[in-house]
Amino acid sequence: MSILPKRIIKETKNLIVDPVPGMKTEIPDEDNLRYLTVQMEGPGNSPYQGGVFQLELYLPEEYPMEPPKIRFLTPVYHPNIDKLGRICLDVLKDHWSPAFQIRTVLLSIQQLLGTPNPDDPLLSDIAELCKNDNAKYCEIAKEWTLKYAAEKKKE
Amino acid sequence: MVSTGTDFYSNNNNFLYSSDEENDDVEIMFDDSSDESSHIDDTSNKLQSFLPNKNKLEKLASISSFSTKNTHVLVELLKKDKINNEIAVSHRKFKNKNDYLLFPNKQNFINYQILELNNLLSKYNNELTSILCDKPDNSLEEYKDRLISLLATNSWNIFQIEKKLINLPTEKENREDNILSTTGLLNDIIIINNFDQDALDCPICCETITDFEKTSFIKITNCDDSSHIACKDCYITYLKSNISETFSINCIGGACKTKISYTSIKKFNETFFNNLIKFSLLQCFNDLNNLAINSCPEQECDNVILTNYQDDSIIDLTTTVNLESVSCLNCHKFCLSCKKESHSPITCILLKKWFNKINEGNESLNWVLNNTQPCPNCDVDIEKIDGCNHMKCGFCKYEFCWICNKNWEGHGGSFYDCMNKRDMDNKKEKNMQNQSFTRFRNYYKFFIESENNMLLDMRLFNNLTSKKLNNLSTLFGMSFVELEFLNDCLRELIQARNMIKYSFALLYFMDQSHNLFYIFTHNQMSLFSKIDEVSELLLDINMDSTLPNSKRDIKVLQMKPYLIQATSMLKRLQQNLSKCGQDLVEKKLVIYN
Repeated sequence: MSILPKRIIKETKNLIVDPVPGMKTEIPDEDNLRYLTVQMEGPGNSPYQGGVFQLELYLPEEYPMEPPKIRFLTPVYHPNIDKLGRICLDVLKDHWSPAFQIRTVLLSIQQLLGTPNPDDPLLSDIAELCKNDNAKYCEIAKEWTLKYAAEKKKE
Repeated sequence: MVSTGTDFYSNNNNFLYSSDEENDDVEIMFDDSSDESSHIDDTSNKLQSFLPNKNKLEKLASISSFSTKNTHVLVELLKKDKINNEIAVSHRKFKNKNDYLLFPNKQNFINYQILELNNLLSKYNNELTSILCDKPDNSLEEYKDRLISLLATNSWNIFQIEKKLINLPTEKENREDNILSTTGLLNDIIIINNFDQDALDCPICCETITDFEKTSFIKITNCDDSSHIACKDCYITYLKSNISETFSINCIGGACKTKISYTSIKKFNETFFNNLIKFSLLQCFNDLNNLAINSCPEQECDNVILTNYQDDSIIDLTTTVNLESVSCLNCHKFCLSCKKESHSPITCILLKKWFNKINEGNESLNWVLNNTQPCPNCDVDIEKIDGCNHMKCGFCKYEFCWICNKNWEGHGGSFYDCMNKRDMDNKKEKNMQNQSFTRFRNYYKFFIESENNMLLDMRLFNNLTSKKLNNLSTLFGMSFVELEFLNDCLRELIQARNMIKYSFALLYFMDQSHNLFYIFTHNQMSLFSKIDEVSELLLDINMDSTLPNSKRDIKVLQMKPYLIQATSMLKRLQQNLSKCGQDLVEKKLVIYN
């Protein structure tokens, strides 16, 4: 394995020593600092409140020139997150800048949970519901949160 | 035989509609300029096969004024009118003026210009400079770079820049600076190596840098945020990784919208600059909706095609008719709007429908695809391996026509009438439900047939050019320029075959009740018979193995005048056919569903 850039060591250490509020970062394999798992609390005042969502995060070889690869492991009912947990977020794609950090990305994702962006959706059916019948959308999202995200908390 | 009197469509030729502004009547007239009676006979023979029925002619005669000679032709026609054509052309069609205006004002035309890539930048420079202002330092390299960056960020579209100019304050002095600043492209990269601190962490790689002489920091001058810096190495990697993905690069700071100017990138690294320009051009070329600037789709061709197309222009691409066959300087013919092989006379939309129709999965069409056909005399399976439809069974020596399966005798000069007749026969036989399918199947058969013929001719092309040209030039000491006629002829032949192929697709969508349909089919037939004439001749040259090589080569030379004439003939017939097709589309005589 190639030598880890100083940036990755510094960032991962920082995440564990000084964690982002509402998030818990773990390194499952101490030998591989590029692979992280994150437990993210659903943001307040949203249908995801009370849930704890599992994410996995991989820092590719080109990081920080390339954005980190992140996906949800917990099923989420959200117009910008698909069944495989992939996330549609500008910062993770064309708007990535090497000045961003894992920390900023995680915060953006949490923000995305609270404020879905149905105008640029990954799943059009959810986006449509979110736009036209917000109450119904919130109901289903809450249901999913209880069903999938709450169990993890009990464990 | 060169049948010059048979193309009805060229501007200077014999058969024209003209609208009479005053009494709103239709006039069909023959141009009296060509007087040979043989030609008229020829014409009437041709006409016979496709002109509408008696009633129609009488009606037309009653509302039209003919010159005496032309009336004579029509009377002859009426006498000879053997074909009982069931399609009646409704008189109503002619009440709408636009329907019969053969050459309406060409709003639907896009003008284009073909340039070599190398000349593109200088052309742009000139045009832009005239739009902007006369600067004393026009010739300066930096000024040029600025113009290029202006173009690269405006889709290489001068109209777009002009539009932006209108909205700007009218100081003549720094107009180009003004536009550049609206696009945020007036920054410079500065290299900092003086810092108050002793050591500084690069925000990207997190390395702590103390020796600023050795590792400098880079910052964009127009970006106000002092934290948007990076060490030189990081900045270079950042630029590199972005250059292949975008043509406008932002400052390295997270979510910073400040753009880095092209000129500063050029100062910094020339390759980066060139790559940016290339990427920006490529982006425009790949954008099928941006017709303003296009590249030749041929892989090794660098030519650029500029058009007067604008995003918000009134030109309706669905009815724009002159784009299907654009030929670039290197003789590549292609369609400008779909960037595929030239498919004149059919339009892109119709062509798509045609291919959809083919792909609908008609299992029963498979037999059509089959290349073999039993000999009508002895039932031996025959595969067609050459372009000509004049078949000779290798087993029983029976000669027949590949299309109609009948004896070749009597096919003569205008043998392709048999396609029309067959189509009509089939129509009578089948009931209404089957009609459309039968029609499609027939045209599809012709379509496939033409495609095969084209491929076969291409093989011939390869055979002839590589061997023959070498032989000839060594035998007679002729230069390749003198032998160019052979290449020209073959190229034209293949292009004509291509056009024939797509014309069958267009035929399927045509409103067959309109008179233009007959004119179109007639044009098609003239082209078709010419093609086969030329193709057969060329084949003769190639295949006649009884002759020794040198004799065959002499034959080629003897044929030179004829082949040159045939080439120009093919070209003209193609033009006529494509013009006719354009008219059909323009006048909406095409059934889209």
